[in-house]
This record gives sequence, C-alpha cells and structure tokens, in this order.
Amino acid sequence: MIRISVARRIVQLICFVLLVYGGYIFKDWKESAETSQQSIFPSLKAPEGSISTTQFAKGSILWPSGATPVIENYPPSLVCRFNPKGGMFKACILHFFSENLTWQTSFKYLLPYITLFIALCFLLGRVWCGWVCPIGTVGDFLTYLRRKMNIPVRRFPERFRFNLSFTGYSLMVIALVISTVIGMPNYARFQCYWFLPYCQICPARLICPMFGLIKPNWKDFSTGITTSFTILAWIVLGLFVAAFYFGRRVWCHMCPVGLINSWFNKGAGIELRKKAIKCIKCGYCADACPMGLTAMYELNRDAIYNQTGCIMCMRCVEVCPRKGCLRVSFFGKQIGNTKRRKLDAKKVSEPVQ
Amino acid sequence: MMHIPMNKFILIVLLACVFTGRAEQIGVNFEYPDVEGDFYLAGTVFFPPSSILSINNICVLDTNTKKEIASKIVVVEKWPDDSIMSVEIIFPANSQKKTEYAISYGSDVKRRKTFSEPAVLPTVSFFPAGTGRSAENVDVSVGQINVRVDKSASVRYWWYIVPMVILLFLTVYRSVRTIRTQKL
Repeated sequence: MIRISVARRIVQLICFVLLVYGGYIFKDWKESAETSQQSIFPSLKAPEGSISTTQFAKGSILWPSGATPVIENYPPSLVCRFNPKGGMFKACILHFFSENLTWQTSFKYLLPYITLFIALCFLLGRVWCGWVCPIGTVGDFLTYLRRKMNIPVRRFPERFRFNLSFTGYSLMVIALVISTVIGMPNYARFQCYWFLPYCQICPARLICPMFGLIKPNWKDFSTGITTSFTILAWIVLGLFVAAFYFGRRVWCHMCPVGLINSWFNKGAGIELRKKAIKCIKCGYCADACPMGLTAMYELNRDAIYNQTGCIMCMRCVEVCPRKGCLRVSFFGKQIGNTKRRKLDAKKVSEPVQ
Repeated sequence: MMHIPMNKFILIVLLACVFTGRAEQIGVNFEYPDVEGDFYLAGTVFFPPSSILSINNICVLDTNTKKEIASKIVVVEKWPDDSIMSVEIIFPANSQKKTEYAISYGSDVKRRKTFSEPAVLPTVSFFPAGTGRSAENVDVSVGQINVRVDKSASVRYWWYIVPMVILLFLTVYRSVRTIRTQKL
C-alpha cells in the first residue's frame, strides 16, 4: 500500500499543475465549458460602470486577468485570478465574495456557486487545504527546504495560533466591508483603488502568477493607496516565506479561505476517529501535525477528532505506531487505518522544540 | 418512521444540486399552405433572460412522435448577460403529414439535427405560442406609451436554496454530533 504522505505529495503535485497551469492545458475546453457550465452556473459579470479585474491597466497593482478561465467557477481552495491564461478556475471563494459584493450581484445568481462550495466543504472539509491548495504545496516545499537545512521546527503556543486566526478573520471582515462599501453608488469612485482589497495583499497574487509563467506585477507606486498596498503585499509575502523557517503551515492559520473551510470541518463527511484504548501516548501525532494541534494526542476517549484547525493531511494516522488506533472514514465507512510499525522517532516524525 | 441511511440521503441531496436543468416547450402556430408536399416553416422566437446561452440548447420537436426535426437556427438578439433573446428558426414540414410542432429549449435540451442549405421551397411563417412578446408593431403616433421594464430575471436559481439549506443543516447536525463524541 502507498504511504499517505506519498499519496498526498502526488495529489498536491497534480493539483498544483492543474490549478496553476490548467488554463494552458485545457484552454480548448472553454467552448464546451461555456455551454455546459453556464446553464447551471450563471455568468457573473461586472455591471456597467463597475471595476472588474480585466479593466485594470498593465501598470496597476491589480494585474489584469487577460484571459477568461477554462471553468467559470470558484473552488474552495486558492486558485488565483491573477494568474492570467494559466488559471483554470475563475478564482478562490474570497475573491468571489469580494467581487460580487462590490458588483451588488443579486443573491440568486450566487446561489449555485455557494451551493457547490458548501457541498464540497461538506464532503471534504479542509482536505482542500492539506491536499489541493497550491499555496499550501509551496509552503510544504519551503518546509522541506527547512528540514534539509536542519533548522528545528517550533510549535507555536495556542495563544499565538489564536492571534493568527483572529488576524485572518479581521482581514476577511475588513475586506468584505470595504468591498460592500465601494459597491454603493456614493463610493463607487473608490473602486479603482479598493477593488478586491484582500487580493491586493494576498501572497497568492504574487506567487501563483510567478509559477504560472507570468511576470507578476510587483509594484505600483502611482498613488498613495497603491503604494501602501504594494508595501503591504511585500510585507505579507515576506512574512509568508519567513514563517516557514520557524513553523509548518503558519499561513494556514490565518488564510481567510482556510478559515471559511474550517467552519465545515467538524461536520465534514471525511472523519478522523480515535480508539482511545489503543493509544500509548507516544505523542507522535502531536509532533507530526503540521498545524501544531495536540488535541488528537490529548483525547482520552473514542471520538471523532475533526478539529476546525485540522487540514486533514492525515500525518497523524500515518505516524501512529498502534494498529487501529487512528482511522480515516468517509461518512462512517473506513478508508484508512494506522498500521503496526516499530517506533522510530527519527523516521516517522519531526521533533518539535 | 421510515429510516433513510445518511449516505443515501446525502447522495440524493447532491444529485438535487446537479440536476437542476429543465426543458421548456413553446408551441408553434401556423396555417397549412395550399401547396402539396414539403414547405418550410420560419419564424422568430423570443426567450426570457438567462434561460438560453447556446443555440445547441434549442430544438424543434414533432409533438406527435416526440422526435427531433432538423432545423436551422440563427441568433438575432442577445440579452445584456449574453443569453439569447431571440432566434430565427427554419425547419421543414409537409402538408400531407399534418402534425404539430413545438420548440423545446433549456439546459437539458441538446440539438442533434441541423441543416444548412435548404432547398428552394415555399416558406410559411409561424408564430410562437405562449411567449411574452408580440410579433406585431406598435403605432407610436397613437399617444403616450408606458414602458415597464421587468428587471427580475428567471427564478430558477432560487431552487439552489433547497440543497444549500439541507447541506448547512447536515453540517450543523454532524458538527454537534462530533462535538458530543469529544465531550462524552
């Protein structure tokens, strides 16, 4: 049987190629996508006089998308709109909400997209973060580099993780409020500066085009607001990269898309279950968790583990040395189990400081 | 109370999310001409906004046999959201095989039969039955014209609220169950 971490790497790689280069690969699907997709999913366009991503000039911090995506949809993972030509999907779900709040799109046209998003989250929870998200894949690669450089990983205290989530929620709320305000007729003149405010500082806006064979727009010093956004975007990107040299998946604690996905984690179809009687409290699951969660280790009863912070990477299931102690199930049906193995701390888990 | 397994229930909900496309039919009104044999029926048909995005989702049916008839369809006008407002349809009929025709449209409809170069035959106009727009002209010299613009588009997207609410309910229900197992 293939190891979970190997399977995850393969899935991550395939998803990365599809999400970042899918537009190049499936560009001929556009015609069929137009007739088959849009009958179920209405085409969402900027109303007359509103700003859209395609209207920005080349010099603007918001790089124009340039080409329409292959599939007019918004998956729950980060698929950046600012990866022109290469992007397979339209954008991530936060882009969707920000854009349509500004355009004041009728709620009924959003319903098919929101329903699909909820259906995917209900089935898979934060599997998107652990297995699909291209930014998570980049993060895992940075973690791999850190391990190669023998830099020890740190587990951040609970309070610090809470602060990161709080920052993520704050940024999300601020972005959505700004998007709503600039959609009002009296404030429409601010759209050229404040359209998609979160996207302007999101590291994906710089990283995805960079991998997508497109030169990202690094700077825009034309006005005070765009200068501020440029500097903020640099700071956030710098912190994103630097954070991986201290801990694993730090960005995932404050990523607004991940935070929205996390609301569905406890009720998701995919479940992590623990058989407490088999646990020997070795602590490998806590050491292996890239999100630094210790709840699986602390659980003293048979329970469904699903935590809001868990990205369903299933490292805990892989490293657990007790057969049948941890298992993965899908709506109660077992799909994975821990195997009996000799305790080898060096191989199965990364010691945490 | 009938017990439905959770996984089957979820499957039904998800299928409800996917299969929301529908097919609508418009009747075709015309009078048979005094010619014997084949002739063409031609006319303009209007569609509501956001209902049709491609001419491949429109076809002509023989209502007696329920079989599709080859047709030539040309887009005349589009709505601002790029959906089709009106099309010109031409299809063959026969005065000896008297039958009724209907124009079927919707996301479930797939047009399979087309013809591009019609033979020289007499053409008879048809008028679609049941659409909101009249084919007649308005005499602007008669006085004041009141124009009412109905901006509310098709309500079909509201159907998504049903699976969405069910999915949200299931998420909350399962979340409460997960929390309970952790607190037992």
